Amino acid sequence: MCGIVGIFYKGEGAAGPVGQVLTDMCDQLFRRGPDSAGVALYGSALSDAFVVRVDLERPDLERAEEETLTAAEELTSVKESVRTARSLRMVVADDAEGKLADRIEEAVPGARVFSIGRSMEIVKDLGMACDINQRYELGTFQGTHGIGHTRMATESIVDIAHSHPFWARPFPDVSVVHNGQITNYHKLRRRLQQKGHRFATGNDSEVIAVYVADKLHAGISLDEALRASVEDLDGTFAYLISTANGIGLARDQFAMKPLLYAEDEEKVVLASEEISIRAVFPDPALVPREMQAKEVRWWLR
Amino acid sequence: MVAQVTDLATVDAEGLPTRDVNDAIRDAIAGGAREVHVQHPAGRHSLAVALRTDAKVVFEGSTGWYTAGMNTGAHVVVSGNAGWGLGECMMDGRIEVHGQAGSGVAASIRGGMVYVAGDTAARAGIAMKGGALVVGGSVGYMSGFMMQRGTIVVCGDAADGLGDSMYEGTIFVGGSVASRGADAVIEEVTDEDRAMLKELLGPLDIDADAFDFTKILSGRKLWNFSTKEPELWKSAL
Repeated sequence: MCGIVGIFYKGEGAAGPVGQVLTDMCDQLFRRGPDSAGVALYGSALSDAFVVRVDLERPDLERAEEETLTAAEELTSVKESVRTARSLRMVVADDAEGKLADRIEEAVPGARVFSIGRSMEIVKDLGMACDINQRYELGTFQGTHGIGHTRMATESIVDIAHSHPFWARPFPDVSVVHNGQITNYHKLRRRLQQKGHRFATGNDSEVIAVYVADKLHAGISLDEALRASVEDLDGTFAYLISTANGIGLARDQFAMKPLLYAEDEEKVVLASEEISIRAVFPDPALVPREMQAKEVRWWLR
Repeated sequence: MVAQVTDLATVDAEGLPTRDVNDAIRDAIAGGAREVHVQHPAGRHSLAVALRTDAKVVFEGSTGWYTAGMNTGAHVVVSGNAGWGLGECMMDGRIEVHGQAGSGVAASIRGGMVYVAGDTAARAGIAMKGGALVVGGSVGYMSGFMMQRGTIVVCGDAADGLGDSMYEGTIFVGGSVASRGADAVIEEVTDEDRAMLKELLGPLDIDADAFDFTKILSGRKLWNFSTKEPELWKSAL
């Protein structure tokens, strides 16, 4: 079990408190996944810069922060930076054609790049979503959309790096949250590695992110990529994939993992269970529907 | 916590642990209430489980998973939607959902009736051992899977794999059937069936005559293993 949630505000310029909404929704699903929680938040897109989120697994956080900034400065210019607990947020001029993340991780022991994007920021940690919200000050984050996750580990270790959401490294702004088990991920990962992709973890869910992002990068539409994933991914899954423009979702052929969507004129709300939707949106006019087996859906701006 | 006027009681679930909500429902019924209204169920799981009573419990809103599971006699109404495993293992009684329901509706029920006005997700009526399931809308993937007895009536459409590996029991579908599962066969609807459907659907304000039902039964070829039919077994496994 795991819990997945998502929110998408419709229309040009529409935004809302995605940090608060997603962590509140995650907390309702903590029984589905008490190990860790995390969110991928999409704020207003920067036209001439990227936001980088780095997790620093170090007791000497200030030194780690300095080392990270120095490493980043080697490849790009750092416009601003702020650290909240162990999450360092930098705004940089560019991502050095995807090499920035690798460079930081090579140069700084204990540093892991969780996300790079023009609008995407991934924050995740062990424990409850409400604690993560407080620790990383997510409550004030305004954004256009986002996805969240509470994890019950089945396929890999319980630690922060293996928590969701996963960034589809090195593709900016693409992230995934997944409930289920992918049984053919070794094969898929090997195929993607042969294409030159690097994986940050041994987690099966990370493969979904890179698999879909690789297709999007090749010019395939989100709709087609989602449909292809339902055929190519083996195992049980309900997953949400988020890009700079919106969110896509897919469910496996046996409908083994729950996934609901609820839509009105202003927004789309996604969750594993209705209890999560009702905690934030009690209005009975917002009616959730369960995804059918093999069904895919997407909302783009 | 419990406000009671003659035989009608109200329970406000807001802020209460699930166990306390269920205790409040039982206490109200034990105290003589014939109808208990529960406010703010907010999609919570395991509400009104294992009730042994003929009283009525009304949820004003949506409930979560396993609503009214193991029900024995109670009439449970959900004005919103219900999650997975609605009424699972019910022995007797009646469950009504005015909205949608999740996967595994009426799983393994032995008696009583489950009515969902809207659609249900996958595996509706899985392993039913008696009783009736009526769905006003459509049902999802593999509904009626391994059904053993009882009746499923779907007014809308059925998704793939309907009635897969069913032992016995009967499924009626008013709309289209995307595909039947292993060993599920179509039979002629008899006058007796029509009379039964009228009796079952009438009290729900559904006009049975407005539908051209397809009747699905077990072909009974999977009852015993046969080496002469390897293809059938391959598809079933």
